[in-house]
Amino acid sequence: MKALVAILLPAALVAVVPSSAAASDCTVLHGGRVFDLEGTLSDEPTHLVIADDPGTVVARYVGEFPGAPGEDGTGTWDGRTCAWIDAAGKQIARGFVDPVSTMGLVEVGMEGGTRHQDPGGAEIVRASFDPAEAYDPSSIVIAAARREGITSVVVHPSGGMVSGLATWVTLAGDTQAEAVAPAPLAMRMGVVTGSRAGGLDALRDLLADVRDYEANRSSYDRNARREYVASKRDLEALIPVVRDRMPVVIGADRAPDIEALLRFAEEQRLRLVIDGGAEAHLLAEELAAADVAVVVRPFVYGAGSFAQIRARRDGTRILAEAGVTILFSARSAHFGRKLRQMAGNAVREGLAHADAMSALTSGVDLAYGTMGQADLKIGAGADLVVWSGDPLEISSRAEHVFIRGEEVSLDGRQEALLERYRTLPGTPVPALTLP
Amino acid sequence: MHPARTLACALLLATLPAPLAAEPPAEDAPVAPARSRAEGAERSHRLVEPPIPAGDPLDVLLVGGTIMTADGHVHAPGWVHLRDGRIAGLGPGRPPDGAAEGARVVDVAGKFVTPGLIDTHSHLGVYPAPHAKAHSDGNEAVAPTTAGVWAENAFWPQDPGLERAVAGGITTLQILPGSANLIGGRGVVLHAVPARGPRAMRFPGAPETVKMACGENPKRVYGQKGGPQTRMGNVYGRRKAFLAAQRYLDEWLRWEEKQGAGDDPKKKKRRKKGPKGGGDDEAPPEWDPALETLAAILAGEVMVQTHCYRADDMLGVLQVAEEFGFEIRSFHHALEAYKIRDILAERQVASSTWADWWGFKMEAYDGIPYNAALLTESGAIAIIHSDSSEGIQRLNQEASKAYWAGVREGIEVTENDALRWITANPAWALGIDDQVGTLSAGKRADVVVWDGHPFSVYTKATWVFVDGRLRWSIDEQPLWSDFELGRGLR
Repeated sequence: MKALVAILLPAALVAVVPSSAAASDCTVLHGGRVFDLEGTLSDEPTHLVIADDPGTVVARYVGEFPGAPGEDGTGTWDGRTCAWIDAAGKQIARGFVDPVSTMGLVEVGMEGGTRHQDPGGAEIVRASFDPAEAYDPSSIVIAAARREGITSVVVHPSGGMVSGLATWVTLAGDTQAEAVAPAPLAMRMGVVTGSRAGGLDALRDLLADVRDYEANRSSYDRNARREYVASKRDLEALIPVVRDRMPVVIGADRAPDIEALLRFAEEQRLRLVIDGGAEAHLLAEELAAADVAVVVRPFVYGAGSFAQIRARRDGTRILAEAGVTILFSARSAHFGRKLRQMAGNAVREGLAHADAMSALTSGVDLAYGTMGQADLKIGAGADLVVWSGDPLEISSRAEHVFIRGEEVSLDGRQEALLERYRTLPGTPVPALTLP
Repeated sequence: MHPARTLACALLLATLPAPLAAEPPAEDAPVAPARSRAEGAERSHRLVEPPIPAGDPLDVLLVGGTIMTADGHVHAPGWVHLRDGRIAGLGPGRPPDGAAEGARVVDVAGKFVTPGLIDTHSHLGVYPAPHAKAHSDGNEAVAPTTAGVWAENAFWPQDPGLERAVAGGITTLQILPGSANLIGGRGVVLHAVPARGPRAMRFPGAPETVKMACGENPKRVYGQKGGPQTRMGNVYGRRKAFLAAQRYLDEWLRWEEKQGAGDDPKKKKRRKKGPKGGGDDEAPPEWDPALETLAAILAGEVMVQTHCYRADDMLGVLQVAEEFGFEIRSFHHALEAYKIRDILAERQVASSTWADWWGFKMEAYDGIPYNAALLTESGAIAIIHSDSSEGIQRLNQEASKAYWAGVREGIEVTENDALRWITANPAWALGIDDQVGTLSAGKRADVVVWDGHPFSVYTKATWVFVDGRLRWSIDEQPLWSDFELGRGLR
């Protein structure tokens, strides 16, 4: 884990790493200040060299830089010509990750035909459902998210008691093959019955079946086992949950529900991530002790629902100070703009700025882990954002976004509309001329 | 202006300035039907509860901070003097000798002072927290036109969201019915103060407002319930409603004219000869709460607030307004307002919009974060509203997001413009801009003191004054809502 994380933003890297990068396929970010993995901004101006291939930071210097700016946005590094970005006065951070998203799954919230995160139907166990198979890398939402410094998301299914698989998606590439990680990261669960307690009981039955199935596959295949509550494929999909501690993400806000989930996770030996946690601050010590991460709701304080009555303005701070891994999520395809605003508001209410920055970046690694089979490298490497200032401040903007070492466009359909209507009338489109 | 409109307007405005305490009924005489529209309006606006006990307004001199007036001035440093519930004076530096004598002097160095924030679109109280089926009172979704219902009648003053809004600098808010209906009923403009009933919270002298809606919502709600099922049906439904209202208004105008003619011998004579005959004993037309609201729209007595997203839908609403001779004061949500901002600027129709909501339905697909900035650059009236118990807690940040999005794209917009999106412009859309919306001598002392620049994500409201009374303090936060008591929350 540690070694992998180090690749993500190689704070320790001071020497040039041998690289297969072609001489021109490099970018110099000169003179910016850089956030480390703990979310702290370096005091010294730092120079980063990014290679397109393999898409990582290949060199990092503090102080003198072996190269100089040239013309037309280029410069030299170690005798090679690279793209050159003067990052003096800028702040460079790893790209933000939204750990609970429907980006690329939902194009228009209320149009059923454009929603792919919930297969619907009466079946409540959908463990093998993988919404990433519906991920659309051409969604118009993606550019808007990148504009806010978001370079990756974890797409989640919804609905049912076991909703399905959550998968890492990088916000670059034209195909699913380029964007979607090859293996899922986590299992999304919910509670569908009227009582939360009843929901846990149903999960107990299900997990017992999974364990029984795993230990008795061959007799299952001979029809020699009792009837299970889920299909073979769902049971298979749940094996990593009981065997490899694949994270289980469950929505919960109410303190007693969180408390019951903590006991349930211990009893079932599950690796739990709480999504919501409006009242989680009341169990901060217990969550920290159990190493359970919380995807927080810093915008909820007060009784949004009966499950959120004891939410506090500074709930996120309380969790972080107790040592709980926190994460932020816009929980929506279209509201990526809220992600850094949320973090900024948590800082306003006392959360350390560094804790907010790490929650937006490396927190997702801590919460989801690498799972052995999950290829987190797809989110690793040079997913970097050059910010005009403090990334959490509203006035700051993402000026350059690199994903896997390549700068990506920040202009999407919204900017195309702006351009069309910059002067009126934007439509009708004028009559054409014959060739 | 239509002569009928002028007449009815004068009648209504004469009776509606502030809710008056009810006079005790004369003996036990039964209450006779209203003999004028104005009489019906006055009766239905009486206040039964005593005024909110609040103590005297503070006499306080805020000095040394950055004063952002929202009318083009930034006094850094400057001063503002609150006295008798009004802004007694303000300016750069320190007040002239003797200007604020006797006032409590509070050093606000490092802080920022702005007008109280005004939200033109809130469902606090009608869809209150905590979400409960039993409290879902915002949409009378039984028929596409329910002009007779009032949001005021559903407003639960114990909504904990109200205190949260004030903590975010809100001092005035318009509570609207939802957007299920073509004509959903009356909105109400409230001052953000704790009260036992909403009527005592009514912003003094604020005009009545009406909520209309176009586009997807009415057709989604009624598509399988008798219609409208399409945008065609939306326009037809609106037109039918206003045709009925025309007849109602006409009936009243003719009747009231006859009554008024009693003072004019010539007219009286003619009336006696008239085909209907009539006379002083003639029964008045029936005062109908639903038609009354619609008639008030036609008569220009109310501020029409119309939920609408798409540019072509907004144009469709303007066509019906043109057809029946009324004005739209503000479109709400108005995500495509930027596409018709020249028309909106020329007609002085405001657009209450969000900083960045989009994509949640087809009519929101073309929403762009540059809407407010583009409108402003073109001379149209832009407003940032919340439509959200969450957004209303940080309307300053929402304005900031829209401002910086515009700046990033080189749209000509100033900080003062952006501050007006949440102060002066909403005050205009609600018809209370003579009373609030800017820091100006003589206006109500609805003032926020912030601990930093109001457009920073890290800034909190330190103090919020409403009518010169401190309603929020960062140092002391008594729970407003009965709902939150006894839970050990604070």
